[in-house]
Amino acid sequence: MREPVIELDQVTKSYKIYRNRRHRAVEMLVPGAPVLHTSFQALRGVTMTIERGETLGLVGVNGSGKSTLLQIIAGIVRQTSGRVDVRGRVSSLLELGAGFHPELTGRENVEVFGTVIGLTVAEIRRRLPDIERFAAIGEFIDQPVKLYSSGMFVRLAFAAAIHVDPDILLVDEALAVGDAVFQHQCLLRIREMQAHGTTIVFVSHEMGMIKAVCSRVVLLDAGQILEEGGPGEITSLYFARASAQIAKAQAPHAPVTITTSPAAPQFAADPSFDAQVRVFRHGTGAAKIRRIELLDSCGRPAAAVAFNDEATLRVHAEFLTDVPSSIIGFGFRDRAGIELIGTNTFEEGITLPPRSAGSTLVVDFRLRLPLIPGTYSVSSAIAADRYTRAYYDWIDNALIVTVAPPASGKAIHGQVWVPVEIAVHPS
Amino acid sequence: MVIDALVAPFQVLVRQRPVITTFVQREIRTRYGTSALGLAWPLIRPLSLLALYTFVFSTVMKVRFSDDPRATNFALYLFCGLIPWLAFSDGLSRATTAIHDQSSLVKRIRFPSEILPLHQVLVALAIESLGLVILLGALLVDGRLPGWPLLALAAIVIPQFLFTTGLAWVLATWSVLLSDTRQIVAFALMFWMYATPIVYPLEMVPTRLQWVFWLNPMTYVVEAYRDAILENRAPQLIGFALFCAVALAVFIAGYWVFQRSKYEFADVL
Repeated sequence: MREPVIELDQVTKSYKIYRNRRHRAVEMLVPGAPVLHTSFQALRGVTMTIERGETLGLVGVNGSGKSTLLQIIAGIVRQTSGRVDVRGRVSSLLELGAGFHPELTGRENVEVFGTVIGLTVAEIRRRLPDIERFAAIGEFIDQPVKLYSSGMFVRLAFAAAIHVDPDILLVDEALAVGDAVFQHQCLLRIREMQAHGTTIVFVSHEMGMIKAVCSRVVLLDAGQILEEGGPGEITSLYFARASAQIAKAQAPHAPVTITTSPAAPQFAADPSFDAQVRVFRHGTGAAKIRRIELLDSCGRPAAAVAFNDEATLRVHAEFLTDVPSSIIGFGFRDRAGIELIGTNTFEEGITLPPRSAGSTLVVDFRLRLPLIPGTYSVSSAIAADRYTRAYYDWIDNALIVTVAPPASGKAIHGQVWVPVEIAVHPS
Repeated sequence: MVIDALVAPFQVLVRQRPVITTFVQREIRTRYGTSALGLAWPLIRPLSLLALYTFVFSTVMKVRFSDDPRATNFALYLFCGLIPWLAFSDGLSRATTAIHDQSSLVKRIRFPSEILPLHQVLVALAIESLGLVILLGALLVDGRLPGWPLLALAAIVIPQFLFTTGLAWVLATWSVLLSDTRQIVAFALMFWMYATPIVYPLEMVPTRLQWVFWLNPMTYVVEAYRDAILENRAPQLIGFALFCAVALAVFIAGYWVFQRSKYEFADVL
């Protein structure tokens, strides 16, 4: 019973880039004016069909065109050429709570949202109890949304967006909000919608989520479809490409300089870091990771460490606004994108002090890497606190680390080795 | 094709009626519902302007309408012109920034953005009707009973709405693409107000210049309001028909100016 609900045929999108606003005005108002813009091709001929009930994942580095594609399907942005056919009511989680008015109550905002999406007031009123239950914000539903915490705001917006019985649901990184319980609830609801035959288009940088949710995945690169296939296959390809790219970019930056390790490490931004991780980064920008380095057991920067040797992962963070609290963490992924180890300051019982704008922190994670020899991609992030999961900065592929085989020649079985004590009891 | 192009702007009014209704309510609620004086605010501004202009133009400068030197007579004529003018200028200036003010709707979700300028025009007209109630009350106190020509108001409001909305669409579009528009609109509206016989009667304008004033559609609107409310005079059919034609043309043209550029808004904002 195949029934296409979204059909794209040779869709392209180019943005006009003007050096300044005056150029745009001249081109618009002066007949026969010379061409003053340059074009940026965000999509170059994308053709795909999405069937009813399918959950399609869109992956790709920043700037590959995923968001543009989603906006085109949502009807927010119009394609430059090509044909777009979308059948059914579209609800999007592109920007949660877009258009919510701060002075209106939660209930009023949900009503406005519902009419915008094409429901009648009576239909929305009927759904309100469900939305209230899902958002679980209690009495606040009748308070102006300006009084909401960011978590409450997002929960209400999310609840509204998924309870309008859309035929097509567009999701862009929206699930990285709310606490763990809420995330779990969202995932359940998405599964429910899948079971009811809702078509879902899902954009995420979190490959774990893509694998958990999608039935098919499309990898975009520079505005074109590079590959499509099953979630396992495409997410592996995504990580392999990302690692290769980063390894290439890092090669000239890995001189083994010996620094005498001072008692307290000094903050030092890496001037080429921003450009290197640009496409793998997202977050509010309230704080930013400026350098991340791996030090070997002697405290020397190293691109490779031996299996299970002592090592230090050093994160240099800069705070761009005043923040009362923060959590800094890291994770190591293998080439398939599976996070093998990872933790953060909160989980390890370290409370980071409040920081003012312009201040910095250097956090050393001393650890051993008992991983099967190979290359690993390090992600690192700064979060506000454990509840909101609003990331100040999140960088995937911040560093590529090679784990060298153990000097003893011991073979490693499994991805991770744990210390084992063996007792042999001969009879 | 041509028929479609002419009908499309009207289809917006029908198809988007639930959204338009919700947004008009929302705008009134957020603009006045949260302030202490609430719905008194939309009256405070026209009434204070009325007091100011009456003092300056009647008491000080001795402008008079229909040879009646009383300040109350001046105030009634002035108010009669001020009400449609404020509906027009408030609607337009709010509509000019309407897309900007709601950029999250335009950028983030699929939204019929043409209703944003339109709903501001409707809100301004709704507020105008409050002023009309006050004006009619004042007339009763003054002992003037408007006759059946008052009903003509209902017919004038429709082209007035179309005319304002058409302009609102054009200005909203330009202001997104060119932010200078907002500055220009602010002072253009001030010029326009003095170019319309609101604080003075049209008869005071030199006769050989009067035809220029009739090129201004708002002259027609103000005069029609005065005819209907104060002069107890039925609207002239030719003038009304001309105004309707102009209003229709502006409405349809404005719609297409907006449509042509609306998909660029998300790129520009």
